[in-house]
Amino acid sequence: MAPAECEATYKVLVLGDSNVGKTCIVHRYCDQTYYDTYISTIGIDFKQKIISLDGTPIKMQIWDTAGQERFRTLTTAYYRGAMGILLMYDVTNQESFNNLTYWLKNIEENASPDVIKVLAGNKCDAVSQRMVEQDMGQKLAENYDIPFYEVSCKQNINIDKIFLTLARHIREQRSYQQLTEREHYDSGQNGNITLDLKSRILEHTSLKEPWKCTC
Amino acid sequence: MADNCNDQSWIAELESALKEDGSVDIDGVNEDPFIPDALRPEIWKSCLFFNHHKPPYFDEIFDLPEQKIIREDCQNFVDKLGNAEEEKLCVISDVECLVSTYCRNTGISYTRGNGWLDLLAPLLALGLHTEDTYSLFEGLRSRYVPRSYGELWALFRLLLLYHDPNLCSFLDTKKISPESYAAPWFQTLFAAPCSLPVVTKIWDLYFQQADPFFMLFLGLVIIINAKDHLLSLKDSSKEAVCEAVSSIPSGLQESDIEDLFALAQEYASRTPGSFRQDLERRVFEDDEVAEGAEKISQALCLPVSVSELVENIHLPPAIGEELLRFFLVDCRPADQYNAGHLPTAFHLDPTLMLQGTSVYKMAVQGLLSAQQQALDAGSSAGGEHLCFIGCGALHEDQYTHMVVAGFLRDYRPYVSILSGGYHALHNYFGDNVEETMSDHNQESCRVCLESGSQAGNQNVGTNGSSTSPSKDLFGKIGAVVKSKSAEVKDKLLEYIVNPTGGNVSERHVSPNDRRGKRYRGGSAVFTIDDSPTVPYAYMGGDEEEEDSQYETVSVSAWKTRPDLIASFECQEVKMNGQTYERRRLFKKFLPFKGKS
Repeated sequence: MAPAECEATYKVLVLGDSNVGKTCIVHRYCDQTYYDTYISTIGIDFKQKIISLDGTPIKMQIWDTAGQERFRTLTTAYYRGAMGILLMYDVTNQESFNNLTYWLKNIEENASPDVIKVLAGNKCDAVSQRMVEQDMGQKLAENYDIPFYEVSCKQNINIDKIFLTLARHIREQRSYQQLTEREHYDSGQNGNITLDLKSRILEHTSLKEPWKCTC
Repeated sequence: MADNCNDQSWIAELESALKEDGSVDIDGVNEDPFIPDALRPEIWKSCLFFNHHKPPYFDEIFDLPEQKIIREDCQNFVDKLGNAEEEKLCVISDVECLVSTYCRNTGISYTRGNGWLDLLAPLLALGLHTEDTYSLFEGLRSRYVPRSYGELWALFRLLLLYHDPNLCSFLDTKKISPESYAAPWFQTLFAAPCSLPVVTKIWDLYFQQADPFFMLFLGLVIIINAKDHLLSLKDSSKEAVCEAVSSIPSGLQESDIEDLFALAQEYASRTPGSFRQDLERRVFEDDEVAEGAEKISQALCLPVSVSELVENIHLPPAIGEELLRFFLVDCRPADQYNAGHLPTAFHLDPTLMLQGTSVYKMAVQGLLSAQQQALDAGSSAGGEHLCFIGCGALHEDQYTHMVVAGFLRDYRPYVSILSGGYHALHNYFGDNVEETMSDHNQESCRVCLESGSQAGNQNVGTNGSSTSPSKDLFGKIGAVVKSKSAEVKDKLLEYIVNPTGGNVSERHVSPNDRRGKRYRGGSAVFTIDDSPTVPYAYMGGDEEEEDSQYETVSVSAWKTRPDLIASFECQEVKMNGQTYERRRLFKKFLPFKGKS
């Protein structure tokens, strides 16, 4: 909590159908643990982790939601404050992939318009049970212009990477916002300049930049 | 015939009144709560004929669209009854006639597997005339068989969550909703899964409860009783578990029924009853969907209404001991808590959760040990049942819900949430907020600030007359309650905010709570002959003075057996209704009880 320790706190919401592995990914990421047993999440859970984002300490505050229908009203209340959303499906479950459009619509309706989204296809280790091919996920992600990774909580594939990507995008978004705010404050500028700025910042802090391991 | 019938039903009514008393009084003359076979038809009639329709018109010609299905099903059904071959045809035509007439009269169409035939079986076994069987069937359907199930399943799940979160989570994880195993239980009032003698006994007792929701508690006992078996099936498929659950009632024996009911009564008395108010109309009467219908199916845990909570807080400990008592946990941000809260509410700052799990865990532990000590000391602030209070708006209660979810995840039973939160509480007290809340500060209280002058006008203008009777009531209670536990809670707050305080709470809670008990007094609460007794001197306004004898009895009776008295009239009391109006309802029940 001490501001000296952490530069910022990023609030991240994990969404997706029931049983796609939302709780699992949060446990894997925050506690480096993996449980093979599935337990339905009640309402909402919460974990946090301090990471080093290119040298800056950042607190990742991760909200794990229940995927079940009966908690929709409750969980929707958490969309608003989220800076990032990790949307998940299960590559062995076609329906969880089909429902992504529902989730994206839900996000659009309830979350802040500049919330950062990433898409994760979980259980990519389960080769024999795969129902959703990787390029299906890729295509959908391109359509919505969001980063996409296939992950595995069981084998710890891409877990850190996807959260780090999310964190980077949140940081870009925020520094862009701060800049535009300052710009507005300084000279009361119009939209043209902000657009310019956006492309400039994106260039600067692009993902091509090598990143350090967080461990 | 008509005279004869009236005569009989009068005798039956008397008999049933006696029976009812017998089941209530454990030391009563008649130890067997079941109804003798000979009296059963009349007693069931008096229990079920509650809307006296003119006798239905039976013609023998039916041409409903679903007639073919009805005929087929009736044939199959009668085949299973095992009548003699020569009777069969007659019985089949009787049953078909009953079902078809019911369809025609009510406009509800028959669908296969809707449980009607199962419901008819115990009624047919009474051997009554078709008209009487019909009326029984109609009464049964209109009174005890739910009309809409969606919310009933949600409610049943919440009740299970309330009493056994572990089992509930197990079934959730298996993705088994109550719908998939309990549908035949409630649709047929256990007639489908149980044998005829068993179901007859269940109904004997069930009708005496006169509480349609009681079926849920029977279901609850049945399922919780089989918990160990069910949990051992954790590696089985969904279907296998589902099958295992739904077949539990078929193992019931006649000898189990009395215990089953005793347990169900126990569960019912340990369950907050507010859900009845909201749901009775929607589940058992017309299927009109009132606003807020979504609430129960989307609820995180069992909701408790403000009126139930307030009433519960003000129960003297003497009454409350064997009943459910709430331990109030206020989960609003600290500044809001400090600007006004219930005197008996303890504060748990949910933002501690964000600061790190260890801090939060210590706070929770402190809270729970305070709860234990309050319980040990018999304080009115103590209770086994946790009731969480949030702000009352979904987006503001994010942290509250997270805390509640955390408790549920730890499989803590008896977790409920105040519906509408502090906001509703504030509105309920209206003008009396100052006296009833501790540390209430108009300048910083969110609800006061939000409503501003608007609230003031409202209270003076529209509520002017209605709030006045409750004014001194709350005032008096407020004063009593206030002084009692303010200190306790402050210490706890201190402790929770600075968890390093170690055993601070231990030292402070008990002495204060004992003081609280002294205030409450209340040994004379149950006595009828005493004129206004100590606790009711606080509660009774001027208007109630002359009724105070009745009140003492009825309130306590209602409290000891909510399932018995909490019938429709009581539940029609609105949350904002005046207190003495509620009392008037109690009086209504008294003659009924008194005569027996």
